[in-house]
Amino acid sequence: MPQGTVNLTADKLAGGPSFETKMERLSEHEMLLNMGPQHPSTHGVLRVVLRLDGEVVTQAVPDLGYLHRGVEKLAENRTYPQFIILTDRDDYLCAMLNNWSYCMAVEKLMKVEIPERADTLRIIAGELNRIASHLLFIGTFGIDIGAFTPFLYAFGREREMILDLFEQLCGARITYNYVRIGGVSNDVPEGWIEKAKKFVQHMKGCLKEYDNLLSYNPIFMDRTKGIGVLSKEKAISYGITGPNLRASGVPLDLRKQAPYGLYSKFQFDVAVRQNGDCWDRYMVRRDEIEQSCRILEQALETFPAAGEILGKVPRANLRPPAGEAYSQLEGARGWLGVYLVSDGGLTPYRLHVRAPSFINLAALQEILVGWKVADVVAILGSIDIVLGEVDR
Amino acid sequence: MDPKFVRAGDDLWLKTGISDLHNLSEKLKNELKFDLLNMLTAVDFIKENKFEVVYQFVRSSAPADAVFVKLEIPREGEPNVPSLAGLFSSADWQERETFDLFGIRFDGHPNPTRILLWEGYPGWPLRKDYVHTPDRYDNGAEIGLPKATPAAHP
Repeated sequence: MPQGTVNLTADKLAGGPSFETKMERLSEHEMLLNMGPQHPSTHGVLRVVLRLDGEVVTQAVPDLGYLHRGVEKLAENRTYPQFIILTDRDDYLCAMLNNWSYCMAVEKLMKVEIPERADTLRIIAGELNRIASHLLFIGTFGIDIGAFTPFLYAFGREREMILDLFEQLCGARITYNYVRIGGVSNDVPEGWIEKAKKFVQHMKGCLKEYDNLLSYNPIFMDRTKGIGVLSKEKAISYGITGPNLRASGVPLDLRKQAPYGLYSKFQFDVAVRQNGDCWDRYMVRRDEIEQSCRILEQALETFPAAGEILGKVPRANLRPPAGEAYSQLEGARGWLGVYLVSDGGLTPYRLHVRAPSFINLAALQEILVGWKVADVVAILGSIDIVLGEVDR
Repeated sequence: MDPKFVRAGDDLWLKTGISDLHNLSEKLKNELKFDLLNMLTAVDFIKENKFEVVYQFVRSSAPADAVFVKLEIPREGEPNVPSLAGLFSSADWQERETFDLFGIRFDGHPNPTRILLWEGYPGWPLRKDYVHTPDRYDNGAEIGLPKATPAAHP
């Protein structure tokens, strides 16, 4: 071996031929650090190979696909309603919005009218799920940084309440299969709206508690403020959407600027922060919980007392007309899009999911460069990925 | 450059050729301010013997404005499309994904490797003529599962 150089490629590190990305020769003071795929802070099975110069990251190569189940291929062998349960498994932390985005694409193709009651229920379920997803982020992000307590509040207390509400609504706590083509599957049980109203009031009070526990905690702020800055231009170039983009100072929210469903009826603000660092990415999500509560209050107040929950859609042999449709909505992690091609048959001819986590994660290789190895976990945590959606 | 405009519902679809793609995307990005390459994927039309590569460009100032660009390429040989990774960083991984699942090569891509599947994976799974090679996970009979018969696409 030549003096001072080690030819270590990432695949040699893994001991297998799977990872072909060649890293340049390492000099004497550099080293490769393998993180994952089994690592508590990657929130799933993600592997990142880090090239370090002392403590500073000089290159980061994410390696994904450990959770690839071929959802897009599976869709081609399933009828349209059958595929809804697979969308649950994409982003399992906000499955309602996954159901919704897929059904929206089919509805666009079929030009179905959704009853107002069903549309309001979608918004209520969707916003509750968005809160649940952000609560999980707050909890796990705290753990990533070393704060265990907020997790017990956000994840163990408030998120649990939302899951209980969902259980009463549709019988499931994680994978709902609730939104159906043309509407939703179940009507609200008696007293559910009151319970949801109570929860929203409770949730608004909790934000203050999180602020005291985590948001303005000096140690937490030291670990996240000014760390992992993502500029506006870079964010747009990488196609980053959702809270990560809004943390970089771009007030882009499909619910506001390209409203779908009944969102144009509701009053709410788009949560924006300007610096694009880890703390801003955290705070945008914290602010979004507040705004989701506002939407929920109005939606629960104006919830139609009676009406259909399912539009006029054939119950069997659903065959959308031949053609193509792309529809997207504001998911908890960014724009959640579904591109659907139909040939008039019983199964989709082609289905593509524009997964926000996958596209947001691509920026990781750029954000990590120049930061200390101790910040890697904070930066990765702040992007808030779900590996089920990254790999699909 | 003479792209054909097609309007389907509310969406604006554009058809273009391989030679025009780069100029068109540059124009969309710099002059028309469609600065966000939102979605990139492909469709295999095996009966018409072609692939369609689909791009969606969005204005980051007004996300309701979207342009879909479609590129038709023949299926034979090694299908090749110019890469947009130099213009839009978001093309980087999405082009790798399309390459991974369809075997469509993107000329000029900085890192044209598979992303979700491993190097050496047999074939391109989202092509319609992909044949699954049975492996040890297929034999459900051992655990009493009925034999799986995948539905043939009409």
